[in-house]
Amino acid sequence: MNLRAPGLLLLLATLSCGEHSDGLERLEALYPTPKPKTEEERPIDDIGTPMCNGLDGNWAVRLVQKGTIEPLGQPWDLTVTDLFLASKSQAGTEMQLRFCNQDVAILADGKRTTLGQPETPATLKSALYLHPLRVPLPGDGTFAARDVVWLWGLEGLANPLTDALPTKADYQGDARVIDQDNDSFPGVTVNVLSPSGQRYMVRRGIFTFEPGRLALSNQWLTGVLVHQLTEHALGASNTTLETAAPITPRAEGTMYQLRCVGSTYTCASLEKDHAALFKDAPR
Amino acid sequence: MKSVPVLVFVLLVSASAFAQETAPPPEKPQEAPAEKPVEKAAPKPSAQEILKKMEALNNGFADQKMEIRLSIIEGDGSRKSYDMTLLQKGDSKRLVHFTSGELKGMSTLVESRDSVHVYLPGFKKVRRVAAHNMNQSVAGSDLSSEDMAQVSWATDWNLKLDKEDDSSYWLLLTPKQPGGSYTRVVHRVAKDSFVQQETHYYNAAGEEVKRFINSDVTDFHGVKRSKLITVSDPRTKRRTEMELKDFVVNQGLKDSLFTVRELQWGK
Amino acid sequence: MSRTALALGLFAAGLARADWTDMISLSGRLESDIRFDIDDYRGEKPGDGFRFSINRNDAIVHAEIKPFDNVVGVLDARLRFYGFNEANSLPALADRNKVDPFSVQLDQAYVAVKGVPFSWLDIKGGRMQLTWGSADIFNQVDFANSRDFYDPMDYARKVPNEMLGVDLYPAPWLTISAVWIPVFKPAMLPPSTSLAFGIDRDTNGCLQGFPAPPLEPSQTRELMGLFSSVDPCSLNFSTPEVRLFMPQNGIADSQVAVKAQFSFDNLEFGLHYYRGRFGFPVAYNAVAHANVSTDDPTKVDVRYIAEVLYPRIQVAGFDFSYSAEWLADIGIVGEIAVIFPEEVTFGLRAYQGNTRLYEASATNVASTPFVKATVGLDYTFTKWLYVNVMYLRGFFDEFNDRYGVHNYAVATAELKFLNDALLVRLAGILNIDDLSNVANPQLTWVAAPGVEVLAGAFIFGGSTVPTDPFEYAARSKFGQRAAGRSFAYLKMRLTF
Repeated sequence: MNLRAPGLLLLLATLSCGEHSDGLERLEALYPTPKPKTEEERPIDDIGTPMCNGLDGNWAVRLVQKGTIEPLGQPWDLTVTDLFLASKSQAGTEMQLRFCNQDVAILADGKRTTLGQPETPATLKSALYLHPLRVPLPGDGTFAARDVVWLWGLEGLANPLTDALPTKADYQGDARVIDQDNDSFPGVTVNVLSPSGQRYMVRRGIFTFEPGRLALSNQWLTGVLVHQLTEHALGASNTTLETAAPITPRAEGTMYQLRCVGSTYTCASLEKDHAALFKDAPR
Repeated sequence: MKSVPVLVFVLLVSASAFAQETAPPPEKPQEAPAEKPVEKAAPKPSAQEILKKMEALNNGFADQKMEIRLSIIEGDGSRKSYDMTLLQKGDSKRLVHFTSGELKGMSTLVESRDSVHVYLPGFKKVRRVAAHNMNQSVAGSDLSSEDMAQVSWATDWNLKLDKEDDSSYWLLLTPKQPGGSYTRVVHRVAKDSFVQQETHYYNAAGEEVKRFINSDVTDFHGVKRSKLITVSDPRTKRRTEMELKDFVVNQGLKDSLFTVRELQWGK
Repeated sequence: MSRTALALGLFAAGLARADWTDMISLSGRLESDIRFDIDDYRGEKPGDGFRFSINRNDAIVHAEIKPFDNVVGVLDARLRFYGFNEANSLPALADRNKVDPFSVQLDQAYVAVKGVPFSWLDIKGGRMQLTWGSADIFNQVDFANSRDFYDPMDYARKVPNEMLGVDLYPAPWLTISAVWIPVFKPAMLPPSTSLAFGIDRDTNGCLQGFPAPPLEPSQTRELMGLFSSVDPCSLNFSTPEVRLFMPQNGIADSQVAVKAQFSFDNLEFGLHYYRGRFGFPVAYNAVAHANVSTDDPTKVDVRYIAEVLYPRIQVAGFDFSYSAEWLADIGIVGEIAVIFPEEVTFGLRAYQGNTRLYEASATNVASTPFVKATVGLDYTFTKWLYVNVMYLRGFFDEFNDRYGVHNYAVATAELKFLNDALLVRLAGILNIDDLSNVANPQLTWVAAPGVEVLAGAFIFGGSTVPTDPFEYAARSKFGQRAAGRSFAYLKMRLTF
């Protein structure tokens, strides 16, 4: 038996450990860095002292509207969330929803995109706040309503449910179109994140509030929402924004949610905290 | 830190120290020879012949096994003893096991003067022994490793018959190569049996520095050997006695016993 | 395994058929060992006091059981009594184990079979302590067993481990040995090791400093800066907790060592290969948690948790021993190991509550290969004077981490008197890089055959304070307190 000297030399020549132990990776395994909290997990502002009795009281309202748009030919998921503070009218015949903010999330192929995502400028929020969305009540203590129309930049429609909305081509001289946010542009102005710019537009929302369920605690009122949204651009700071993609409603996940809050609760708090505020809402 | 080399005593116990009381010596290894008187009428042998016969008596067996007690006796009579077992194959390979004292467990293998290995139980390893260690004392005795490694005088020493008397030849040996511890060695060999009776070692100054006296010839399983070897430095009052407790020859010891493999196996 | 089973079977059969007293050879030692600390500044804090540090008695038995000529079972067992009372309550005084604590240690327990199934093959299996390499003690190619450094006086000791081995003797001049060690066992360390992570406090208990982690000095400055604005007396640093990040006991974590040993007239040399882990740990990560004390809001409790690991390595080694006839027969030995390590990145974090205040990482062990080596000469000048000198590149525990591989000179002189009844040994190690050192003068008296009385001292020299508080490698090798305290000792030993 002879020593395989060439084999040994070959072995030595190919020696290499090639392993790596990373102390930071180990620390990360031992002490995981907390993931950034979701909106739902963030602490929320004080909601004051909620005092609701039936539909009486002060409510934070969220209208979650699911839909689909196809700006580039492929369907993108759209979620429009309108936030309001609400209370019954003095006469008790309607629930008045005062607009606080609108949050729009667009998912392209499952990923969030800012392409075409609008934001509501403060001037528009103020303007919409002054003209509450009025939801008539059945009068029997329940909450339900059909074909509630909510107009942006429009007034005086003869048949609010069915009239065609003005377009860029024909809005000139149309008295129904108003500068609701007083910014010298027709209709209302929304900011678009990408491509960045402003769109001047009119908008109609038609909502049907299916009968709501009032929680035993009287802290929640929730129900199915049926919606139809129509937007027409009247102009834009960037011509690419002048085309508003049609929104196809989806029933799944479309709902309304009301949470009883104190009288001191503000739009600013709701705007910031709505995800967490409504995370425990009954389904 | 542990002492590193302190235990590297090389014990090369030479069978020549225990001169055999049998005659005539065989030319080749053989069974234990029977005692036989020397014929007086034989022609006077040469120095080379005397030495050859003496060494044949010492080493002329296929193998040997000795149980030895090494005792160091101080001038005041105090004594300390160590036991060891020596195995020898032919006239060169030896394996020595210390079986008592602070060196117990240590084993030494001598394959040649250039190949000496020692097993150190404290370190559980076999270590090669460098030649410079050969002048170390063996367990503080009067024996050095160099003394005891000496097997065949014929190879490295010049030889002449210095004198003779009625009972003995006196062989004078001088080293062929300078540098050793001794400049002159004298053997006294019995005329009738060619048994090595005494050996005297001299340094460069001409002083006798060591003396071996063989005595108490005893029959060990049919082979006669000196039971007692007294080693002394005439300049001191102390002495070392090597007592042969047992001695057997031709036990069929295998060559494989005298290997490093054996030295470290099962330790 | 089947060969081990065969050997065990043969062994059992031998026991059954023969008179066991013929098969067993016993030897051993009785040792008593008393040590007294002779410095007062190298302990956990200055002024710890002079005291007995060891007061133990060992009974050591070595048994070789040979049921057949080619089969042996080897047993090395140690019964150790520590000599210090551990009872700290009245009920504990009824417990002999507390009042007089002891342990039983099994250093070796293995079976070896020679020449089976081939004449040129020996096999062995069980609990073993192997030593490979030509040099004395400072073996750089020796990886099969980790070192047992619990006792700084006994650097030669190994942590026993279970292994399977073969020795092949294909030619008289060649021996090939291979061992497989299924499970990794780390080196044992002296109790003082924890001081490597020790916090320096002044006599009022106020923080003076803490050891620099293996980071870039600039990173360490940043880290220490976190505490600079805090009153050092308000920081309650608890004793650092150092945890071991041990390998899994999978097949991939087992170790293999192979050597080919060549033997010629006055030259022996060996080629070595090892794949496994380094037996001494290197720093892996650390985390500091600082929180306002619940007991005293003016104080900050700081908890420091570190992890160390045993880096994976491959080693190519060479050793030799040579007797130089042309140079007065001087003995020359040498060993060189080229170590191919895994890369280790040290990570550190500091938290206040759940808030991460600081995070840093730095390469502690680069993946580039490095060398450890030993070269030694020894010579017997006279019957009474023996000298051994060695140069070391890399002490036992040194790895190419941020502390680095250092250079050492080792010298031992042994002088014998009174016909070897009295041995004076002067031994010392000098770190050539930082000049720290350890000296070990010892007197051995062989009172009777097999009876030795030893007296000596083990003295550390060098600065206990790092030359740069921000530099991991600024601690002196033997000066740092983690090396242990200097002591004097008295031993008695009976070998039987």
